[in-house]
This record gives sequence, structure tokens and C-alpha cells, in this order.
Amino acid sequence: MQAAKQLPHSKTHAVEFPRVGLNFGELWLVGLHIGVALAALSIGILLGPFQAFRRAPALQWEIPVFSYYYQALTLHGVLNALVFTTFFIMGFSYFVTQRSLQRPLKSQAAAWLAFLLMGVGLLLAAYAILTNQANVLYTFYAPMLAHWSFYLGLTLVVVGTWIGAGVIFLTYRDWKKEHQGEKVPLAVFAILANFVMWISATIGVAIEILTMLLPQSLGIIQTTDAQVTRILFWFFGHPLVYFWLIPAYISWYTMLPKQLGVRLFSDTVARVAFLMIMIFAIPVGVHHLFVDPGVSEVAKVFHSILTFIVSIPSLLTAFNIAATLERAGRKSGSRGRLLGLDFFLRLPWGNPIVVAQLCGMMLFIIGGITGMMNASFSLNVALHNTSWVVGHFHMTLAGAVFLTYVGILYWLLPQMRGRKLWRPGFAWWQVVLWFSGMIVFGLGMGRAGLEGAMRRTDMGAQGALVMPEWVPWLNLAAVGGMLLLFSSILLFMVVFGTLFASKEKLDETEDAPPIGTTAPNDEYAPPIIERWGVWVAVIVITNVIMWGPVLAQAMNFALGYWSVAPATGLAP
Amino acid sequence: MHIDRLERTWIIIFSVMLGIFFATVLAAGFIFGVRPPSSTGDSFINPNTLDQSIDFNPQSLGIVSVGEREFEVRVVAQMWAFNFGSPSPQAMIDAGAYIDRDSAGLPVLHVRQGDHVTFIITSRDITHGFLLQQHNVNFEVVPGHVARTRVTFNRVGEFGLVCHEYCGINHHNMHAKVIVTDAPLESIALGD
Repeated sequence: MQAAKQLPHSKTHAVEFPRVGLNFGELWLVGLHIGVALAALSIGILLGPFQAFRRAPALQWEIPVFSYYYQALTLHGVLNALVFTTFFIMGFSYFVTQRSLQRPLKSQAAAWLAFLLMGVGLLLAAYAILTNQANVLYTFYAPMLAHWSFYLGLTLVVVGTWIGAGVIFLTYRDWKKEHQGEKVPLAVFAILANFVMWISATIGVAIEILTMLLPQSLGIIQTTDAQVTRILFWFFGHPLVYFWLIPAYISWYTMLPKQLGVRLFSDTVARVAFLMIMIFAIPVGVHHLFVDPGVSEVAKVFHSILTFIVSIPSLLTAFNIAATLERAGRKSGSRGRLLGLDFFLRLPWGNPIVVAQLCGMMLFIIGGITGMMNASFSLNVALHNTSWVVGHFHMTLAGAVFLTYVGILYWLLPQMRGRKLWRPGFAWWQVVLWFSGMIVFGLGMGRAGLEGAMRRTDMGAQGALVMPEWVPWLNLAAVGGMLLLFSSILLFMVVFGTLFASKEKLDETEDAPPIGTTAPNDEYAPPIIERWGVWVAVIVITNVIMWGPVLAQAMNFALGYWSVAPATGLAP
Repeated sequence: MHIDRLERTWIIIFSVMLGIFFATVLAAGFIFGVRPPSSTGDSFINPNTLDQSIDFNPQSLGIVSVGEREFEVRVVAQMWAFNFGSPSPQAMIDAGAYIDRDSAGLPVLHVRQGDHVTFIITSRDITHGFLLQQHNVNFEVVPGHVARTRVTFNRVGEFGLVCHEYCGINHHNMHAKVIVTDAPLESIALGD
């Protein structure tokens, strides 16, 4: 990778980025985001296996510290899926934007303000959950009500991400002024697409919190509408999963090729894939509401069609990445044996950073297939809210996304101290144990779900229903949980080892962050791909068409709307 | 815009694949009738006045016969039980489709193989779930809305019926059972 001083435009700003390691500003801004993310993860990740142990008829162990199952469940969801991901994504996006555009963020102060808001928000939400006043799970709908600090906290986190996104947009605008007619590097293109999608999507949850949940938790309004909050939540809920996924795709598309020493197969098709995710991630959310009584069949069928369309960018990604891996395999001696698939065996399977991403991709294939099953309007009747769904999103979020983030951490953490990854062998076993554990866990949860076992239920409690046909599969899920627990312990050993015990210095060439600073100039891409205004207009129009009727139909001002009182009985 | 020849082929392959998938989904829904319960436009109900409503007053809950082996079951979901109403009258027991309680006091719905049952359900307080294991009965029970779905019992056995939407401290105790028997009607009617 090129050093900053070789680039002609670097004269216009003072910052020079070190070839390896982080400069002072990055160390604090990026480091603190990653630090908070890992702190949240350390609690959230441990609560996962213990829920599997609690639900396994062979064990039925009480969850340590958080003996109220639904409190542990809320923490597991909020800490892993909301806090770990959001802080990681913000830190990662700042870092990649700066390095890829070779310029500092437009305003460090604004980025710090964003971090401060997110941090205060996290503390407020954590207070509510830890004091047993927010046992509403991470998919929070009325009429279940948490303490107001939970909603205020989440609002501040979201506002923080908006400010952070604004800083990135302005940094891009300045870069664009100096690079008229040039394509922005792919990684930054994807970050921009991610934040355009995120800001559009969070409008749904902002309306839900500000007009319904927050006023109700403060006692300003007394009643609410359950169906409308579910609709507003899932306006936000599905793009949320793409918000997690896009950074993983950035790693596969732009970093993995560098780690393998090859060029990405098609930069332009990658851009099209990111645009498609940005546009189609939101108007598909009704697939989470397929069995809701207040949504019409017509809306369900249309959102089902669009859900199939939003699988297209992932199918394009499958080809693009596979073709890139094939190049890498050919480079290391693949001769096209085994029906041309021997390239897969020739990849650097000893490198934990690469293996984490490859294992994530393999889990994502299962996650994608199970996802299409969930998205099927009629099949969903057999799957909705069963433990099958939990199996599915542990292939995508806890599989592809998490393992790829781990792969990123395994090169990003060494940059913080300028020392190599501590015990790469441990890191390798961590990845492989996680992959195997997740396969076993997913198999157990998926099969139990097909037999009708429900998710989000304390099956170890007295009087809970456990049908005989669920028993072996719930026990199998606990075996998977055991492997995942070992993997989590190894993960934190490697994290702390790298930060505090690693001695060997980073190599000036081979350990440089795998971030590209240019877009290929020999591939033609239509300029409209980077006209963000056009795509924002498309997003607005699509969502008015796809969500407007759903909301209008759910609101019956004479009967349903505002007639439901808040629920009590959420804490022991 | 350049797209590689192989990539073009792949795009055609998955487009056809997605088309087939979606055709299958539509066929399952609209030919074989596997359709999730949806809004029909008149599914609103005031959750605060269920006791005065036509469908969900205490007398109308439970199972009624509406035709040849065709039944309707009205249920109110509430924290933390499914309210199937009072035990069924002798006439329904004689018909082989009735509701009683198990030793733990939880409702049990008895039907015979081949019976068609339409579940009509709403919630009194909070959003609950309603899932009948191994059957196409699965919906959210949202306060303010009535959900309904029809199912044919083809398999003999004991099936769990659970709340699958977290609804508070005793969520895991909110369940019931459906027992499907293949006993011919005569033997049941003899009270044996």
C-alpha cells in the first residue's frame, strides 16, 4: 500500500498517517469505540451460552448473576446486537474513511460529540436494564414498557450515529471537491451507502420512541397502539441487520483481496450490490410481520417479493467474492481440479484473519438459505418466532458478521499498540471453535424450531412446556453453546494478550492496514452510481409506496388506535 | 458498464432460481391455502370492552360446532393464560370436540382426526403469540386486532400450543394442548 506522502493531494492537509500503527487521534477515537464495543461484548457474549444451558432439559442451569431469564435475554440482545455492533461500526467507519481518503475527518470535535452522546445513551440504557426496569428485549414494542432512561438512552445512541454519519458525509464532500470525476474508493462508497440507509431507517424507530414509547414511559400519554409500534419498529429492524452486514462486506470486498494479494473481480458490480442493499433493505420489513393480524395480505406478498430481490446483492457478492478467491487460489497453484473447486483448498487456511472471514462466509451461505425460507410468505407460518429463527440469525449476525468483525479486530487491535497479534494459534482455534459451535447450535435451534419449539422462552422454569420431540435438539444447542463459550474465552485472551502482552513489533510492509486508497480506473462505472441525491429520492418514493398503506391500514382511530394500556409484570 | 460473461450467466441462473422460489411460495399460499392470518379490514376490536363484545364475551369463548365436522374456537389471550372459556357442555363432549383441563389446570382442546377448526383469537392486554406445534397455526395476537386461521387436524397425537411472543414474567407458563384422537364418534358418545 502507498504511503501518504506519495499521493499528490496530501499536501493540502497536515495529517500523515503512519504506515503501521495508529496516530494519536485515531488511537483515542477509534480505540475508544472499539474498547466500548468489546466491553459490551464481553458481557453480552457470555450470556448467550448460559441461555442455551438454561433451555436444555439435560441441564436447566440458572443463569449466573442475571437469574431472571428475560433480563439476561434483553442484555444479550442489546449488548451484542445494538451496542457492540454500533460502536464497532462507528469506529471502523471513521478509521476506514480517514485511511481510504487519506485525509482526516472533517471535524474531530463532532466525532467526539457523537461518541459522547452514544456513551451517555449507553449508560442510561444500561442503568434501566441492570436495575430490572427494561425487560423488553432488544425488539422493543408497546405496550410493553421500560423505564424512560432506556428509550432516552437509545435515542441518544441513534442521534450520535447521525452526527457521526454527518462527519463522514462532509469528509467525503471535501474529498470529492478535490477529486472531480474520480470514483470514491469502494470501502468508502459502501460506508456512505450504509449511512444513507441507516439514517433513512432510523426515522421509523425515532417516530416510535419519540411519539409513543418515551411519552408513555414518562406518563405523558396513557395508551398506545401495539400494531403500529410493531410496524414502526420493523421499518427500522430489517435495515438494522444490513447496517451490521455492510462492514463485513467491506472486509470481504476490499480487505480480503489485499490480504490474499489479488485484485477484486469486479469493483463496479460491488458498487451496484451496495446500492441495491441501500435501496431494498427498508421496503421488506413486513416479512417480520407475516403473521400479524393488522397487516394486509397484499402488503405481505409485495414485501415478500422485495425480500427475494434484496437477496440479489448477496448473490452478486457470492459470485464476486468466489471469483476473487479463485484468483487467489490460482496464484498459489490451483490447477482447476475437483470441478475447478480446488482453489478453495489452496487459500491460506493457517491465517486466522483470513479463516475468520472464510468461516463467516460459509455460515452466511446457511444464513442466506434459511433467510429465504423465512422470507417465503407461506413457509413463514411454520417458522415465525420459533427457535429456527434464532438459528437463522446466529448464522448471519453471530456467524458471518461476528466472525468477520473478529477477523478485522485481529489486524486492527495490533495497530493500536504497534505489536503483532498475540498467539495467532489461539486466534485460529477461537475462529474454528466458533464456527463449529455455531453450526451445532444452529442445527439444534433450527430443528427444535421446526418441531415447534418457541424462541425467547425460559424453558428451564417450573411449569414451562417442553415437548418430548424438542428435547434432543435443545440439548444439542447447549453442546454448541459450550463450544461457543470456549471460543469466547479464547477471544478475550487474544484481545488482552494483543493489547498488553504482545512483544513483537509490527512489520512495516506486511502488517499495514488492508485499506485501499484508490478505485480502479480501468473499469467503467456509470456516474449515476455515485449520484446520492437520486438514490435518496428512490428510497423515499419506494418506502412511501411500500410502507404508507401498511401504516394507514393499521391505524383505526375509532377502535384500535391508542386503546391499549401499558403492560406491567415485566420484572420479578 | 462491464459485466463478465460468467457473471452474466450467474445472474440469469439466480434470477430463474428466485422466480421458481417465488412461484412456489405463491402456489403454497394461493393454491394449497397456506396463508398467514392477515388483516381483512374489519379485524379491529377494542381490547378494553372484550367482555361486552359479540365474539369474546365469557359465554362465547370456547368451541362451537358450525357445520359438518367444522368448529370454531374463540380464545382470549391474556397475561399469562389462554382463556378458552368454561368447560364445554355435554353436547360438545358427545360430538368429540371439547375443551377440558389437565391436572395442572391448563386448557386441553380435544378434537378428532379430520376435524376442521377455525381459531378466532384476540388479546386483552399485551401482544401474545399463538403457535400450534406441527400445524400451520402461528400468529401474533395483537391487542386491538382479531386474528383467525383455519386448520384441519390430519394427524393423531398430542400437540403443544404455546405463546411465542414474550409477554412478561410468566410467559413460559402460558400454554395449552391439543389432543387429536382417531376414536370413532360412537365410542366417545357411549361415554367410555
